[in-house]
Amino acid sequence: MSHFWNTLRSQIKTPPVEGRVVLAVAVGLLVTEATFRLGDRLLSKDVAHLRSLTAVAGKIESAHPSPRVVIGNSLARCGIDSAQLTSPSAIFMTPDGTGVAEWAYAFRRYVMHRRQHPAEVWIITGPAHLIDAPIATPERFGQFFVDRHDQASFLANELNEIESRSQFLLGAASVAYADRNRLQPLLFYNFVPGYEETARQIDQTLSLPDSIKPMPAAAATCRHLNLLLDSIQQCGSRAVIISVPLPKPYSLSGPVVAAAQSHRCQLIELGKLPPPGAEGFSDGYHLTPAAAKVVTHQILDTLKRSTAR
Amino acid sequence: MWFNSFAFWIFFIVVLCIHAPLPHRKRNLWLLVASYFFYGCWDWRFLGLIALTTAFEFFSAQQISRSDTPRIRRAWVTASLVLELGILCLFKYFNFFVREMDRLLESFGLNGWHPAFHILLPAGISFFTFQALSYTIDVYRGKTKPARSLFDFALYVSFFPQLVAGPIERSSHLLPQVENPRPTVTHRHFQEGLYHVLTGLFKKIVVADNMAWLANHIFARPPESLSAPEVLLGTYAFAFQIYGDFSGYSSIAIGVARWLGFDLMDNFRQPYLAISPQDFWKRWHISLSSWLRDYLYIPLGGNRGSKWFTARNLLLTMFLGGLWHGAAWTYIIWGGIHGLWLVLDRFFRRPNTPSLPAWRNALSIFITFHLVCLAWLFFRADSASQATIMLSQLLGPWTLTPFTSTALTLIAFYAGPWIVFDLWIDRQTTITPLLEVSRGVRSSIYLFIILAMLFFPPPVPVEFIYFRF
Repeated sequence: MSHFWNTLRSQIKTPPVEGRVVLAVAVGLLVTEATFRLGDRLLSKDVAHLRSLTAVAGKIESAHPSPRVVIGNSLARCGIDSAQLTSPSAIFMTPDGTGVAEWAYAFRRYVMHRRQHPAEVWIITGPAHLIDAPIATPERFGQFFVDRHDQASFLANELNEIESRSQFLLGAASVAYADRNRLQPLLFYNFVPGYEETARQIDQTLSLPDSIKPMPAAAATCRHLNLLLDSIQQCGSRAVIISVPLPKPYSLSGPVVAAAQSHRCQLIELGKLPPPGAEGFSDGYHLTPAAAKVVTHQILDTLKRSTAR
Repeated sequence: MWFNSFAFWIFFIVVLCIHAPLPHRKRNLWLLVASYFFYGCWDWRFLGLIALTTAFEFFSAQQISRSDTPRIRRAWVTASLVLELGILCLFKYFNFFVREMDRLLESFGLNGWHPAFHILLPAGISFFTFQALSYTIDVYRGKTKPARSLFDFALYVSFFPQLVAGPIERSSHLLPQVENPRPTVTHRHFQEGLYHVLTGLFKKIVVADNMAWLANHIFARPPESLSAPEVLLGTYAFAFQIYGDFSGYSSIAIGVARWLGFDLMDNFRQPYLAISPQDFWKRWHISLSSWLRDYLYIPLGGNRGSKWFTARNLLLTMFLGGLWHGAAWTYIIWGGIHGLWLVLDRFFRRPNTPSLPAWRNALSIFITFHLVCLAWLFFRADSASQATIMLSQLLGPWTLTPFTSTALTLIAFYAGPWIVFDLWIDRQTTITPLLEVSRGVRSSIYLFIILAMLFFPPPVPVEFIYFRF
């Protein structure tokens, strides 16, 4: 035992050649980390959106009177006309490619734990964004959505494998690790001929056909929506769930409606109404600015009528 | 618990920290516990199988060494062969046998046999049974002394770095390292371990798994829909996938063992730079090819007879080598193709060929690589008919598709640096020449490896191919 410690001590005093190699590699990694911390916004639009969450939190803090916070993703950004939301003013928390789990933890981190009390919170959704889904990118949760207050409960309740827990902790510690999946598409989509088409084809080939897909393990749940609505209630804010129109009409699922009712949260289902037609969607999915104006007007109108009642 | 998982590295750090301060006997005991835990993480139900194999081989080797009567010695080694090969056949070939019997009976208009059970394949069964078997045969041949302690022998059979996918160690090499106190882990051990682990992880994560994305796409599509370049590039992608996957695993196993003070045998030496089929088998899965040579080819008579006798032995050895990989006709055909090439190579190779000029050398490498790829096509295909249709597609029009340009770029991007590295190593005299270059170069290469693993992970992680064997 003492021999082991003596050897270890002597190696530390006079670092061997490989120690210097490891040191050089560590310095290289630190430089990479610093570069990512300084410039990861340039990697992609969605990273820029995520990075802007801190600024959004600052805006909520400085807004007087208490603002209206709009939570969602690109559907919300394109579906709501901010010009009509003047009193109270609207602040958007709408990072791309996110769902209710991200929204719940982001709200807690950037609003609730900063002791902010927005007047109203609009949760803008499509048909499936409020249903629980497995955490697919724990490293991004670690870096962008979960703060130290929620870390322990997130590790215990949301992740059940060593792999995902390790990814979460590494993501919390390192921006480079959290953004690791951003560099490859940036490079390949721009410089590898035919990559976009090939990636689409391969994803199609390798995804399981519906006939042999495993059955869903359990019915749809809304644990994250409940967490989000609880958090909004704790802030003393009024929550409104709004489904935006998509090319095909849809209804929100039973568990979403139940969660909304149990929190006395207003539900505005514009997704049920006949959609505006092909000209209302810029890319077949997101609303055009003109359609967004109509939708926002409908929302405000509905809210006004319900308040009057 | 894959080598490229966080769980494995957490496990290994715990093993290493507890292992370091212990005295020799306790170290072995601790490594045995860790190895059984490691295997149990896959499927604890098969721990009994390893324990049975270990106990029986230990006991039969003791009996062989104690007896002077050839008949008794032969009886014990036969019992050992029957048990090990019986276990292998039961777990690995039973389902195949039933399926093929079924087809045969149905072709005669009879009702097939449909057993109500399906036997699961234990991870790494082909590796640990061959390792255990070689020990008993070596004791029988007087090449190795029987293990002194059951625990030491159990560690030899189940040593976790090489338990599920080799290298298949010989008792004369690994057992003395288990039994005798190992030298203190030095700076050189650390250096070599780091080299093997980092290059192994690069081969697995960056090369193999990214190549799998391309190869799986091609082999999942209907073969009739593929163009000739797609078949060719899909096969190249698989060739680099399997090399990266398996040699990556072996490298990590060697590196991890090095950090524990063990020296495992080399399993790969730049196989795609081989200049002939014979040369390929001196460079690819060396621990299996040398096992088959020593325990099958030579006992069959080797090359001690006529050309046809040698050809028979080569074909038989390679057929069985193919079957070792799994119970499927595609593996048997793969073994057959390699056997046939080895025979043709032996028949037509000029003895004592002087060293080849550079262009002939390059041509030999090119031809050997493509012959190996042809065999990989059968190895990877789901059925022989799929492989045959894919081969016939090579004669079709050479239409360029978005896939071909992407695959070509990605193969160059991912496998290119590694091919250059292999070419460089092949010209050096040492096995680990990177350890002889300056610190700056080594640091840069290690940093490149880590950044490549960080930023170019595969779209879908893939399990190690050889765990299935």
